[in-house]
Amino acid sequence: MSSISFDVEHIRKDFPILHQEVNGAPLVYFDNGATSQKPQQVIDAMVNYYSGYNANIHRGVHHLSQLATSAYEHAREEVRAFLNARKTEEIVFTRGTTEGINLIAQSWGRNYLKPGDEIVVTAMEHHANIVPWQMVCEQTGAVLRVIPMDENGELLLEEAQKIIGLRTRMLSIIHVSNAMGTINPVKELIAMAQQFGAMTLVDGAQAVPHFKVDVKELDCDFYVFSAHKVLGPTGVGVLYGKQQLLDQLPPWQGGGDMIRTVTFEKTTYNDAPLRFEAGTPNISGGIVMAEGIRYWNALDHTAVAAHEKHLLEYATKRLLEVDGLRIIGQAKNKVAVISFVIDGLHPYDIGFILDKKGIAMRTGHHCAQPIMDFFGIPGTLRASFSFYNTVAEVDRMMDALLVAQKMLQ
Amino acid sequence: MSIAAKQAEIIEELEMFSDWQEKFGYVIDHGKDMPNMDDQYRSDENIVHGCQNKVYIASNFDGALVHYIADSEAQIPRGLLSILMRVLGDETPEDILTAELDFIDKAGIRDNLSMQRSNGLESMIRRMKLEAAKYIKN
Repeated sequence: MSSISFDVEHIRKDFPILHQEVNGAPLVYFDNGATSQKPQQVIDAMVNYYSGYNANIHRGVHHLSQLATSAYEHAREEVRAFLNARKTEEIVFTRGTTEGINLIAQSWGRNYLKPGDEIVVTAMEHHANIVPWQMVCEQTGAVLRVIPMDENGELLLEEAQKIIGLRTRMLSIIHVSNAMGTINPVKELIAMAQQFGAMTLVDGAQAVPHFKVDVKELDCDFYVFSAHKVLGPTGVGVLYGKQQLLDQLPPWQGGGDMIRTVTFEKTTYNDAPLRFEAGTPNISGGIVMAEGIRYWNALDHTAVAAHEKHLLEYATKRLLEVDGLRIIGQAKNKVAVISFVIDGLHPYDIGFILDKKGIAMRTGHHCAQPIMDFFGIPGTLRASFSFYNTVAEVDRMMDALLVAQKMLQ
Repeated sequence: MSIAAKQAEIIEELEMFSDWQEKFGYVIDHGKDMPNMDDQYRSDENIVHGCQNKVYIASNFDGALVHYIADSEAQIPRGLLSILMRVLGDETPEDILTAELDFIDKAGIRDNLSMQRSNGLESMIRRMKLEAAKYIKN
C-alpha cells in the first residue's frame, strides 16, 4: 500500500489542470509518459519570470539582465545537483532529449566516426535514439547495431556481450522504455562498453520522472532528458557530459553565446557548456525547469516510489481481468507504465472511446515502431502513471475500458 | 440519388441518436457492412497519410462513375470511410470534385471527433477527391 506520509489528494491540489472535466467527465490524466502536468509553483515561476525579470542573459550589465543571468545559472546548479554531476560546466541546456542526442551524434559522431565503426543501441529505443545515429551512419559509414530483447521486453545481456566489442565506439541506450516501462540495466551495459573504450550515452527521458538518477554512479559519458516530462516546461532539456569530453568536442551550431571572439578571418569558441548553447537560449525554460526540479526534490521519494508501485500493481491486476487483454512489456524491473492490447480491437478505437470518458491515454506506436514490429502489433494503449494519479482513477479507466470493449465487439 | 440527397439522408439518420455512444455505434456499424478490401489494393500508394492508423483508399472508373474501395484496420475510421463512400461513391468525377460535404458538421460527426481524427477525415476526403480527379479528361 502507499505510504501514509504520502497524501495524494493533497499533492493533487498543486496541479490545477487535473481539476477539470473532459467530455463531461472528470479528467483522468494517464499520459504522463508523453508529458507531465505542472504544479502551480512551476506555473508561477514562468509568470514571475516574464512579469518580473525577463531580459537577455550573459551580456547585459543592467539589473534585469543580471537577475535573469543569475536565475538561469542557478538553474544549471539545480540540474547539476539533480543528476549528481561534478560541475555545472557539465550541464548543457538543450531543447530536449532529442536535441541532446542529435548534438552528440553530430558534434562527436560526425567528427570522430569512421567507416566500420559501430554504434550500439537497443531494440527498445525511442525514434530519437535511432534516427540521429542513422543520420550520422550515413554521413560517416559507421554501422548501427541493436541489442535484442525478449518477449517480456527485457534486454538480452548475453547478446549484448556479443554485440559490444572492439568496433563499438558508442553505446547509446534508453534508461527506461517509454513504450513498455522496462528499466534497463544501464550500469552493467555501460561497464561492458567501457571495457572496449567506447563512449556511452543514456536517454533518461522516462527515468528522471520516476527515480533518482546519479550520473557519477552510472559513470556514463552523456545523459540526456527533457524538462517537460519531470514537471517542467516544454522546449528545454539537459545534456550532461563529462567535462573533459565536452571540452574536446567541437561546437554543433554556431551563433551568439557560443563564441569567444569573432572576426571574419577566424572565430574562437567559448568553453562548455556555453559552446553548445548557440543563440539566445530558452531562458524562461531553464529557470522554470529548475522550479520543477525543486518541486520534485521536495517530495518524499520513498513514498512516491511506493505509491507508483501500488498503482502499477493494482492496474496490472485489474487489466488482466479483461478478456483477451495482453500486457506488452512485463519486465521484472519497470516503472509505472503499462502498455496493452486487446485481441481483435484496435488500440486507436479504444483510445478514442476512453477520451470520450475523460481518460487521456496514449495510443499508437509511441515513437518506437521497432518494438511494435517485434510484437507484431500496430500499436498499444499506454497508461503511464505519475505520483499524482490515484487508484480511483485506475478504476475509472477500467469502467471506461469495459464500455469500449462492449461498443467495439 | 444525388450527393446532396445522400448527405441529407445521413443527417436524418444520425438525428435519431441523442448521445455520442449511439452516434458512434452508427458509424461503427457502417464499417461492419463494408466489404473487406482485396489484397491487391493494399499497396503503399493507396495508403492515406495523415491518419494515425493505416487507411487505404483506391478507386475504379467505369467510364461514367467512380467506385471506391477502402479499408482501415481500426473500426471508427472504417466506419467513416464507409459513410464517405456512401456519399461520394458511384458518382461522376465532376460531382465528386464539386461536392460540399456539409453533412460532417451538420450530422455532428465533427463535434464528436477529436482534432487528430478530424484531420484524418480531411485526409480521407482529399484522397477521394484526388482519385476522382484522375478520371477527368483535360
